[in-house]
Amino acid sequence: MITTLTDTTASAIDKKMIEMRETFGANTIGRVLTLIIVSTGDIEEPLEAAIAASHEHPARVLVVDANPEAETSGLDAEIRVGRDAGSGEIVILHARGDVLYSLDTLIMALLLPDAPIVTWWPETAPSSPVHDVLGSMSQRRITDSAASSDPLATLKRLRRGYSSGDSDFAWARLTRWRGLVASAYEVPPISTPTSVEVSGTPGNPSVELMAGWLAHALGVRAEIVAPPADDSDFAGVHSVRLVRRDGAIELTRVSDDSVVMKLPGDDTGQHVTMPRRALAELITEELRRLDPDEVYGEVLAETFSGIDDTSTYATGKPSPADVVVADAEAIAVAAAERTANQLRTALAERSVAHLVVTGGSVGTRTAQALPAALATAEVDVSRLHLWWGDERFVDPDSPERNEVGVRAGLLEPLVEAGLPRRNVHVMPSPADGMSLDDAAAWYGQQLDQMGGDEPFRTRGRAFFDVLLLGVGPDGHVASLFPEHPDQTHVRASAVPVTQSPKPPSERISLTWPVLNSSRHVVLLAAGEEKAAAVRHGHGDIDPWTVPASGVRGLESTVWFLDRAAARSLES
Amino acid sequence: MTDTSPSPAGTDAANPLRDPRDRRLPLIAGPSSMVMFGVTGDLARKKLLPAIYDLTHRGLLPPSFGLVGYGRRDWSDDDFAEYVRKSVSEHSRTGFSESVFEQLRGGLRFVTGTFDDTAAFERLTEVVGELDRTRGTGGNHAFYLSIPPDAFPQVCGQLANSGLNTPRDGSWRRVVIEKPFGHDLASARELNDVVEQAFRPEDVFRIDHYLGKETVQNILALRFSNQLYEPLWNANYVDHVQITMAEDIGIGSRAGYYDGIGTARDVIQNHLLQLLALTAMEEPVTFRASDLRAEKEKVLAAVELPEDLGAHTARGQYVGGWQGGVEARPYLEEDGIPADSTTETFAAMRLDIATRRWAGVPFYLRAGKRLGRRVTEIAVVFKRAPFLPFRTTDTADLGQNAIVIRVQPDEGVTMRFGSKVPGTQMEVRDVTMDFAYGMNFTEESPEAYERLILDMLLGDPPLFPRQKEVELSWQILDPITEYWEENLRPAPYRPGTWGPDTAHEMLARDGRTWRRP
Repeated sequence: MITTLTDTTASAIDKKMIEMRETFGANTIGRVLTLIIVSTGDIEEPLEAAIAASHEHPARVLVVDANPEAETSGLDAEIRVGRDAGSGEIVILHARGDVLYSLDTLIMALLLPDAPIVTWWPETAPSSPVHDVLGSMSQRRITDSAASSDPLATLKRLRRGYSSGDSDFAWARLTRWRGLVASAYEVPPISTPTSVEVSGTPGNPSVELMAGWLAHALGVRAEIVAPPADDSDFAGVHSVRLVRRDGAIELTRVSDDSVVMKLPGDDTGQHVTMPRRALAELITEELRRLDPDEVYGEVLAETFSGIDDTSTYATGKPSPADVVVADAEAIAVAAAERTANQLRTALAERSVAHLVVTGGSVGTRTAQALPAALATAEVDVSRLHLWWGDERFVDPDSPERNEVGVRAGLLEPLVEAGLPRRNVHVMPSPADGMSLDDAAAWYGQQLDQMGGDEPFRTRGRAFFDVLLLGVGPDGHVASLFPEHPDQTHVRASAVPVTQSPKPPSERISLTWPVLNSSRHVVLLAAGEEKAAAVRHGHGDIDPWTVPASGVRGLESTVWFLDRAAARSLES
Repeated sequence: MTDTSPSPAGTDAANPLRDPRDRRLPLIAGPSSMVMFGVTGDLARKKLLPAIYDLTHRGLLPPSFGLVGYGRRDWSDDDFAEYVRKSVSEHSRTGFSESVFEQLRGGLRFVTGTFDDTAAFERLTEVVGELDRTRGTGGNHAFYLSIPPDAFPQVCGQLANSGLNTPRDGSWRRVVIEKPFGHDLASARELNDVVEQAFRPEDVFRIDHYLGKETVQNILALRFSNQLYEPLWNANYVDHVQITMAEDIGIGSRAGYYDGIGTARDVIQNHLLQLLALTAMEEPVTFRASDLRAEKEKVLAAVELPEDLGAHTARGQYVGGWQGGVEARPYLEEDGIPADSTTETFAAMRLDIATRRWAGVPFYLRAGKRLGRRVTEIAVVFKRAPFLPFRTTDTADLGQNAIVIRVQPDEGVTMRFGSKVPGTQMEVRDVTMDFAYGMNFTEESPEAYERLILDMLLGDPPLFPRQKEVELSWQILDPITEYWEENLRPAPYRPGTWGPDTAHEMLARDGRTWRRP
């Protein structure tokens, strides 16, 4: 049966479920886990798969049907039990608007006591599942890179953010293939293949993982080749060829449900049934084991080399330009004008624009100059989103906060001019009841939610339109300090920074890949004390020693300097 | 059940693609074929062929898998394929798919011959060799003897003569036999001698399909992976244990086999004593087959029979009557049963286990046909709490705590304990807490034969009883059946009830009653 609740709360849903249990005596069967499905698109397909999987794994299924951009905020729910829910019970949460700010509290009341939690993102994978608010409380985190708009980029991103307990359907889709290849290996006389060839659709994550797995397990080179042109309509792995001393064993998909295995000296081959796997099979397999799939982690690492060098994010982008003006005030005016124009262009092309503001003296001045500049450029501020590159984790009204510094000069005038309050994405403070780690994770999730299916990229399309960054005398940007261990964390979008060389010591900062996901980067520096940092920042890209050199925009990077700061550039 | 995946069949080196941590990767049988004797029988048609098909459907058999039928019929390979198609399309669990059948079909062969036809066994040798060459079965062959035990000597002799029993170059040859493993100790030994003349003891796989059931395997998980139960699992807390295997149907078409054998030999010797062993055994050192077997053998060896067999065993035979809306014939009027048959269709017995853990805890076993409903379960019934701080009227409804492991149907575990009745005064009544594998679990869980055939092909032996266990079981049962033969005629019972009065009296003598499952 199905019960709907409108404008409800999590505890009302919980109460209703207990009531339904008492009235109908249903749901007496033990549930073995809570499955959370976070969906921004169609919920019916994943739901059907979850119902099918519940036959093997009786679960409580919580579907978060997220609509962060809804006009009004609120929660509607639908409870399905009995015939409509397979062997499980289902709660669909239609969450609108600000409700999504606290996604964890939305589901907290509905979790089964003690039972393991599995979170599944059927379409949009978070940039780092374990740093997601829901992901961090889950034993298993399941993504489907193939469902995203750029599967390979998504999988690479998941590689960067990988943590034990993650898995991806691109891997689960391979299970039967892998079983078959493993048994092909056992065809006598057994010998380790000298080389391996995998053919399949270019850019398909499963193809990459297959090659990675074979290379990892066999210790030989696994080459990926394009499938023959006439067979190119097969998605995923098309064939696997194990070359051994006695000849090659070839497994080739010939139709949607079968594969032909050819042994050395056998031209006709043996027919093997191997239908493509449906969503229900994939999720069922995932739920079978709740311990981490270590092999997946190793294969993922083998498939995509890790990025140890944080300079990678900034390289290969347009070289920085300089705008040198008289003084700090002039910087603020010039930078604000340029920013306003870029935002106007962005809004002409897209429905929303994202601006990252900063603190510091020049940064604050630039922020104060923005309302006027935006008005002059006739920017529709109601479609603008404001973010912070970093923030000090101190009392919300402390003058040390970057946000406090621009409250009167930027936020209030813009809100008056029509900027919706909810578009102002302030970094949390201790007063929000979160630890520093949780606060960073929460902010990362806010970015993910607004990022939609355009996760953070340092190549291709960007997320932020304009990123304003102050530059410290030591060359730091945001809260990424020179030779500070916390600046090396690139798995999450936002990270906690502790023992900052500059007080206060606890901060939250965006990370290299996220900062580098901007169209336009504006670096601000004034005063003689910044001259050295400016000079070093103009040198080679070297984020570890000179953070200011490590952020570049996809379209432009401009240093706004006063003469004092620019002095050492002349030679 | 083992921790480490076995190395691929027929090799010494582990397959680098099979990482033991890679639990997703299906454990697919290595290159192999199966030769089936008695392929036209009921078991093969309804269970074995569908199980092989279902394994193929699940992708657990190697592409090269070959299946050779051996029988009297004058069939070509195509005729045999048609027969297999019919069998699997009617009985497969996972649904018939042409593509899956096509895969299986490539490896189907039929050899016509009788069990004494030496020329036919030579043809069989050739066919098996041809599979090795063309399909890559690698010289690994299993022989499934789905035939009456009296044909074993001939078939095993022929397999030995033709050399089919002898593996070469690291390949394997295995033989699968089905219960009954004899009808008493002497015949069990005789049968075993015949089989072991042709095959090494470790290559003989005895199938007791009960041991392939998920719930039976779950007994070990329940006992040895939890902290909750094991401390209570002994004579300090357990009052007694009841193991029940009831069927609501009669003997059906099994008259030829059943009469003269009876319930005790048919199911107690194997299924119920195996359940008893799993329930009562000590913790094995590891879950390796040899360690598991050692514990089962120890506990079976410690089983003691009651001194007065007449007072502590019961024997029954169903009479005619209406059972649940249909009229049932009396056993004596079933087709093929002599009117003066003294074969029992119900058997119950008390067994004791002479170990420190179980001294003084009786194990009551009962099994029968045409009982109240179809159910197999193990009920561990606990002693009453030594002191109850309530008025006696408050606890009038409080029974004994129990843990019930339901093997079939509706697999699961139930705990029974006392709870306060809401409202009014302090009144305590029995309630149950239920764990089921899930509403539709039975749909998803593989048939026992699938599991066992796959384990056999993988060479994974924990689920197969060895000769020693078979002999120990007969040693327990033989004195009882001998006593019955001379002193105890089966007592009549109405179909659809829980057996004859003598069974209830037997427990009443001990001050206990049978659970109603």
